[in-house]
Amino acid sequence: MDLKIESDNSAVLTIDGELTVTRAEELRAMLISALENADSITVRFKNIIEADLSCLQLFCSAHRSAIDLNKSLTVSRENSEVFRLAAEAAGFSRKKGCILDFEDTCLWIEGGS
Amino acid sequence: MEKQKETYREEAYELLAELETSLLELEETSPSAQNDAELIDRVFRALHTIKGSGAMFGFDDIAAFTHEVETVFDMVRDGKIPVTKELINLALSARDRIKTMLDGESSEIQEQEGQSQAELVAALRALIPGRPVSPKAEETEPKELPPPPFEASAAESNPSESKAEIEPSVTYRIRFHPHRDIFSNGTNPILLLNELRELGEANIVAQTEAIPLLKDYDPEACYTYWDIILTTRKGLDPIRDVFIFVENDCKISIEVIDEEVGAEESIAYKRLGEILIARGDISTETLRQVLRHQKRIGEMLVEKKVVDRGVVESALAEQEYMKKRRSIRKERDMVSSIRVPAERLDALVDLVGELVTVQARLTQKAFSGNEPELLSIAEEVERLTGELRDKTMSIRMVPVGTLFNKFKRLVRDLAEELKKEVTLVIEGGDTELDKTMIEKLNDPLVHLIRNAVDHGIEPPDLREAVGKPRCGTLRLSAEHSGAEVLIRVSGDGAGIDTVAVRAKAVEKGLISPESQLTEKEIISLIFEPGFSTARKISDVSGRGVGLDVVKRTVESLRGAVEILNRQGVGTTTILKLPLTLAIIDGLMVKIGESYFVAPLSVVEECVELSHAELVKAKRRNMMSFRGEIIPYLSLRELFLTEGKAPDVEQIIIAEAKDSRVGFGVDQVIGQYQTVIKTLGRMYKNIEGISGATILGDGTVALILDAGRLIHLAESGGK
Repeated sequence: MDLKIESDNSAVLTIDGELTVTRAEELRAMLISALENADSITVRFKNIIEADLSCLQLFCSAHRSAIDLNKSLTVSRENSEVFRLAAEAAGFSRKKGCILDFEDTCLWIEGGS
Repeated sequence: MEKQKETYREEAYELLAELETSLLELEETSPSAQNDAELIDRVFRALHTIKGSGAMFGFDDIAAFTHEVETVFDMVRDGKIPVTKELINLALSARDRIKTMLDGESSEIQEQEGQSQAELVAALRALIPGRPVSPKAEETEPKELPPPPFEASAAESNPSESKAEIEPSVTYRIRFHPHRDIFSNGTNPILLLNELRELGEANIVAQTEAIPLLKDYDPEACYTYWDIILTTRKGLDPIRDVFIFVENDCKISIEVIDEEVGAEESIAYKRLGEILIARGDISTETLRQVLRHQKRIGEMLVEKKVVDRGVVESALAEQEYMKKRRSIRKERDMVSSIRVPAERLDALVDLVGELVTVQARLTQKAFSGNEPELLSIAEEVERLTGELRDKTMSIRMVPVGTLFNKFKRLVRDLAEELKKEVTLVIEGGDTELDKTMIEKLNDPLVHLIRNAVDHGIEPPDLREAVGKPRCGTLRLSAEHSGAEVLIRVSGDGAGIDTVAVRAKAVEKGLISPESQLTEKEIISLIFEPGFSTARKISDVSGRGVGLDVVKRTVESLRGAVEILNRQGVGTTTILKLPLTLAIIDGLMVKIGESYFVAPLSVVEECVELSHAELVKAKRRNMMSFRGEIIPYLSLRELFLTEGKAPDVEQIIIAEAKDSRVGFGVDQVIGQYQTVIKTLGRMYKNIEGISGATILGDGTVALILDAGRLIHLAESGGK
């Protein structure tokens, strides 16, 4: 896992390996740190082997937190296949975002960010 | 199970035909026509049914492969993948592939084509945005394709699971609400959801409103619950079994929301607004204006923070899901036709034929017995038999459109191969023809169409140069004309070059260089065996076999071929075919001691010739009829009938191919309903006879082949 903060207050969080409950705490800490240190965060995946429900929830939570802080969090489409398939299997796909999501930036909107 | 598999195959072939038609139409209408959505839907539905029922009847390879195509079209339907030529080509190839699988080609061929299947799958997957083809996909053997997460897989494909075939499908609304600590005992809810998907068609929406912000987030808690709509034939128990190990760690509610019980009426009645409009109390416009200010109930609930968006979304999903299911079911119920194997129909026709024969015997007996009561019974039986015959024949009638539509693909592929632009216009597709005839017409029409595209329609540039539109038009039409059906194949191409035809005929030794031929006679040469004007033999046509086969096939159907040609403007080939093959109305005649039947459709009238006129006619092979000189042929002489000819000969005036011919017979007996029986192989090549029929007293009467006889008479009986 690697967090890179750019000078323009944007950050790229690169995540690799498995996205499961065993790494959820580590991931949560990383996301909190990213949101504390940057205004716009892009999550990039690399060699993701597995993604489970706990991490889908965690990303949902991170996205809500970003909206709450008036910041932005997006997930890059690149290499996100495993992540997206897991979201689909867990029934996370949405046509509209949740009640907090005024600008339809929800991670689960089909064809979205 | 074998029987059901057969039924599946039949249905799948129909669906494949439907799929092909829809794809071709889609290709024509794209990119932005309004009916696109409907066409895409048709494509999707066909694929979906092929896949779903395929898995149900153990065609797992078909189901897995079709799933790949369906996935792509699901995205096309959602507007995520555009309709492109590439997509249509791939889909058509996939369709062909499914057909090969259905045909049950030998495993060897399948193996050879295995690579192409993997390639197809890879190409299809490549169309999906954000899902690049992994190198793995290309290596994937067909059997190793991921098990599709769809209706009726796994257990239902197991033949021992007969329950699935009997149980009606029921739709359940399931709420699965796990406890927060469910992760701690190693449960993965996604696996449970996948198990549900395996039971049938499932729509799953995760409810996520309880997920807190990061600061309050417990990484080991499950904050999500699910609303699931599941349609399955397996009953309630398997659903409960899915949750059996988590029962104590979650809240589960399962309700039935829809059941397939016979012909079901929609419970929903009109909405208030619709009732008011129907009563005339308000206008549609007023309602629309009022509604414009009204927010959707879902939005209002979300705004008031009564419910989360996810809850509304799952309810809307349920609504849409049920609407779709009900409409599919309704569509299915509305089709009130039944599927009958063709052999059974043929057997029925045979039986009706026997009945007609027996009825003729009864009528004969009644007439000779002079018993008024028997006579009235015989008349009644005759009337009923006639009706039964007509009804039975009409069951065998199939709209010719089913045949015509197959050619859309042919024309498309030919045009592509020959780099020509051709539009196929189909007219009169609902004209009905006997099933057997439709089957036999396939090859001749394929040949005529190939000829028209290959030799007729010019390349686009050439067309433009001679002032024609770049895209050629090929018209395929069918219409009734009296007791005949006319099928026309006409193209606006170059027409037949009669000079070239003549030269070729001379070269082939079909005619001598000096012979004087009319244009019509020259054109008729192209039907001679071994004739081909194409200088190079192409893949498409011009193998030198064909047009003579076309002519022979059509004549074997008691039909005729005619060509109208305008050089530079186009050619029209007309196939004239009788309506049915099995039973015809005929005119019975007697020559010597033998009976013959002429098809009534060609008989114009019957006349008598006096002895003096007869002698003249026989000498010249011509006779005078209503001031016209027409060819005359004595059937007594043709069939070498023994015995003395009567003094006064009766003549049947037959008309076909725009010319009249007089046939001399001993005696005209009268109209006779004729059940046509084919002659055996031994008698197949006898000229002038097209079949036989059994008369009331059991004797056999031969059926005259009018077309052939007229040809014989015109050529002077030789």
